[in-house]
Amino acid sequence: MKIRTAISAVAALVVAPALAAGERLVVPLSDPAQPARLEVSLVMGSIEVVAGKAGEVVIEATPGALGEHDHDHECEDCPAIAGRAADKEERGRAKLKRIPNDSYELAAEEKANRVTVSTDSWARAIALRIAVPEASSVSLSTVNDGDLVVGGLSGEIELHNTNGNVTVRDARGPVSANTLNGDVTVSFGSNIASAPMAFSTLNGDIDLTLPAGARFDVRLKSENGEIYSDFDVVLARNAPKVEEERGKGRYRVSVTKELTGEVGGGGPEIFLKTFNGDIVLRRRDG
Amino acid sequence: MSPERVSWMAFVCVALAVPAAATERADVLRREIALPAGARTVEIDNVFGGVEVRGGAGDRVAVEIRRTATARREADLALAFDEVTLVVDEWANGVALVQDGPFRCEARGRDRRGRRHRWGDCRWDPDYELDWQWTVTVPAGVELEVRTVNGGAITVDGVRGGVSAANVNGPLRLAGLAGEVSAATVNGEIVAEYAIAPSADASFETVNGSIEIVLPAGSSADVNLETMNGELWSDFAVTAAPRRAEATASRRGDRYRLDHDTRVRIGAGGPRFECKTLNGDIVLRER
Repeated sequence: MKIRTAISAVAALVVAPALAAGERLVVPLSDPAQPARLEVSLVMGSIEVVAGKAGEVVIEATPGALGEHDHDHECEDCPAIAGRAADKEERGRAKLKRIPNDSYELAAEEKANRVTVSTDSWARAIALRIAVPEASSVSLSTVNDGDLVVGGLSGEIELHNTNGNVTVRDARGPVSANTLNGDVTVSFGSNIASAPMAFSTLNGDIDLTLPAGARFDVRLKSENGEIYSDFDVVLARNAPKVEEERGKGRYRVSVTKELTGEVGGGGPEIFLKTFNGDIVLRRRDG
Repeated sequence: MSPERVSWMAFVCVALAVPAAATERADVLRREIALPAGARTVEIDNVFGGVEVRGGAGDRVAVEIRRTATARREADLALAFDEVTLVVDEWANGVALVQDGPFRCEARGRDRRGRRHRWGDCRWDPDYELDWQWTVTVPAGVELEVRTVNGGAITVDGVRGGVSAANVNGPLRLAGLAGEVSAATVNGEIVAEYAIAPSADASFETVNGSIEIVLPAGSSADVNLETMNGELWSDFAVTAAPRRAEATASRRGDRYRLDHDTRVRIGAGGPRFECKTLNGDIVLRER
C-alpha cells in the first residue's frame, strides 16, 4: 500500500509567543469515498472535531491547554518574576533567550478508514482540532484540562469527559455524552436519530436542544436540580416499587426520583441524568 | 609513665597505623608513535581515568600517562601495574591506544589484534584502585575516537578532524571543533565549542548533565533539542524548523507520526545537530 503523507507546519518565531499556530498531520483515508471512524483518548487536553474535506482526516495540535496562560513567557520587566533575572544570572543564562520546551508526541494510525490518534497527553496537555469527513463517527475522551466539542457531523458521536464540558452542535446522528464535573450541551439539527441516546453529568447542567417536531421517550433525573422543558412532556405515572423482605412479612415501598414521559407521541428513549445541576430541554423552531 | 597511659598511646598508634595500610604507587608512562603515512585515525580506549587530547603539528602521537594505583598491599600494587597495560595497536589506517586489563571482558568478539574475548569472563574484582590520567598530543587533522568510563573528564582541544568522545561517569569538554562530532556521556555535562562555523552533523547526548554548544557568530545549523527536566536557552535568534512527518505501514494499519522533538534553525540552517539530555539544560551560545 502506498503511503501518502503530507505535513505542513507554520514556521513561527519561536522566541516570540510560543508556537501559536498548531502543526498539522494529514491522514489520508484508505477509502476516500467513505467517512472515517475517529477515536481519540487524552489524559490532559481538549478535542474539537469539525466537518472537513472528504477522504482525509486533518489533525492540528497545539501544546498546552487552550486558553491557558503561558507561565513561562519571557517578561524581564514583570515585577512578579524579577527574581528570575537574578536566577538566570546565577545559572549563567543571562542574556540568553529561552526556547519553549513544549515538544509533544502526535501520531495517528489508519486502517480501513478507522483513525486512532495518540499523543503524550499524559505528560503535558494538548489541544487537538480535527477535521473529518462530514458523515464520520467519533469517539472521544479526555480527563483533565479540556472540553470535548463536536460540530456539524452526521455520524455517531460518543463523548466521555471527566473534568470539563462536553458540547455537541448540529448533530444528526446518535449522540451519547457524559462527564463528571462539567456541563453537557447538545443541539441537534433538523431531525434526530431514531436511536436511544444518553446524556449524563454529576456536577453540571444538561442542556439539550431538539428540533420542534421531535418524537421521543424521555427519562429525566436530577437529584439536586430543576428540570425545565420547552416541550410538552406527557409524564407516565411511576408505579411505586414494592419489595418484600423474604419471610419476614415486612415490605419496603420506594418511588424513584426519575421521571419518564414521552414527547410528540413517543419514540426512541433519551436518558438525561445529573446529580447537582439542572436539566433543560429546548425546542428549536425553524 | 603509668601503665594506663602506655596502653592508651599504643591504641593511638594502632589506630593511626590502620589507615596508613593503604599504599599508593604512581609513575608516568610516555610513548611516542609516528603515524604511518596516510593514517588518519587515533583511537584512545580508556576505562579508569580521564583523557586530555590536544591537536598539534607534525605526524606523531605523543602519549603521557600518569598512572596511579592504590591498594592495601604492595602485592596488589604490583599486580595493578602488571596486569593493566597500555596496548599500542598500530594498523593501516591509524593507531589505537588501549588501557588493557582483565576488566576487558565485554564480549567484543575478536578485537583488532585478533584476540578472542570470551563470554562470561567477567568476574574481575581487584584489590586495587586504578587511575590513568592521559595527556595525548595528536596531529590536528586526525579523526579522533576517545573513550573512558570512570574517574575523569574527556577534554579535547584543537582536533580539526572528526571527534567522537564517549564517557560514562564524567563530563566531555570539547573545544576547537571543526568536523563531525559525536559526544555521549551518562553522568556529566557536555561543553562543545566550535572553532569555525560547523559544516558537519553532530550529536550530543547525556543523561544527567547539561549540554552547552558554542558556535561562532554567523553559524547555521538545524538543531534538534530534547530535554525532559530542563530548559532550552539560546543566544541565537532561532526559528522553529518544520517538524517531520513519518509514515510507516504495518499490519495494524498505516501509521503517521510527527516527531516530537523541538527543532530550531540557526541562521540559514544546515548541518543537523542532535542534542538530547534527560536532566539538564541545553544552551546554544554565540561566541
